[in-house]
Amino acid sequence: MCNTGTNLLRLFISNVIMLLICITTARGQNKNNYISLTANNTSYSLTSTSLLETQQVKTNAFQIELASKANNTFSVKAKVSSSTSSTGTPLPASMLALRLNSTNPTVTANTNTFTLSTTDQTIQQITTTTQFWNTNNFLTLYYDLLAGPVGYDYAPGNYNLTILFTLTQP
Amino acid sequence: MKKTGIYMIALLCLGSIKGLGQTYSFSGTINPTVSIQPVMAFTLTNNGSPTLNFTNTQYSTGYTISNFNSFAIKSNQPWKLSVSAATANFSASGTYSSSNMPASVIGVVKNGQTPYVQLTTTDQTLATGNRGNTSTTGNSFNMDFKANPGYNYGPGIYTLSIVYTLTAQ
Repeated sequence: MCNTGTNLLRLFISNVIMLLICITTARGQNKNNYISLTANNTSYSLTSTSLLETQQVKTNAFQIELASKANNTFSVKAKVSSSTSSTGTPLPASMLALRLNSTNPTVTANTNTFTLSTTDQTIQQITTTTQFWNTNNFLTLYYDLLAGPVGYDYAPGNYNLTILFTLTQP
Repeated sequence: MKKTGIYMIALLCLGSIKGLGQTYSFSGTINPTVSIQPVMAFTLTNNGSPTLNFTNTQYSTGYTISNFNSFAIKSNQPWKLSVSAATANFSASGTYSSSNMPASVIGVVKNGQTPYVQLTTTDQTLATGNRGNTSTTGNSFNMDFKANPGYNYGPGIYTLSIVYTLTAQ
């Protein structure tokens, strides 16, 4: 009886230890994956006919910092997750586009211009030779942000959009 | 009992391994803002000479020129184009000219519409339209012009400036 009780206790402790080891491993992987967005210049003020009629480009408008301990393959997706305005009529997601300007350190990456939508699209699929795995050693993507041409179909007012970026790893 | 313990351990590990095998996603956002200010502009084209020479017939019936001016408007808000005279009377020169010929001898109207707007120094609506560029319906149009001084003013050279003003409705 005593043996049985001891065995049960051992089994219980073993289970708990195993569980903690596995969970810790999973959480550690989460902890060392990292995406951080920094907006440098993402505001537009359209005050003239020429600004309304041409696409406005903000060079190095924002930057994405990436790190992953588990894998050196990054997939970054982007979409417009929210669009509101003071006029009641939001700007469509397609009014915004983004284009990679540069990376630090230099890696092979997609420099195409992506017109945004409300559904995710992959804007980067990067495989590096270096593993970026902590905030002292991350990959930075510098992006240009393009808006418009807005034209004359939107009333004067303030338009706010949110671009959601998602880092995915295999 | 041992079997139960092994089974539980296996179950726990499987659950955790499943967790390890899934794709991880991490998200961040930026919030671009676009401030659109009121913007409106128009181009005015003179389709003919602004100098009119009156003959006998035109003294009696007036001088009418269709499509005298063309307008092309772009605006991001509903607009109104007004017209007025810069001065109440024409400036006159010549020995027999009259200094009191009023701006109202000039009438203008959007092509195809009536009646003519007799000019004064007060803004009067010539046309209205919706937001859009020059290809938006109603944002490009012509204006007809009529001058009818009659026989009340002496021979001479008369000059008047016409002012067009584009505003939001």
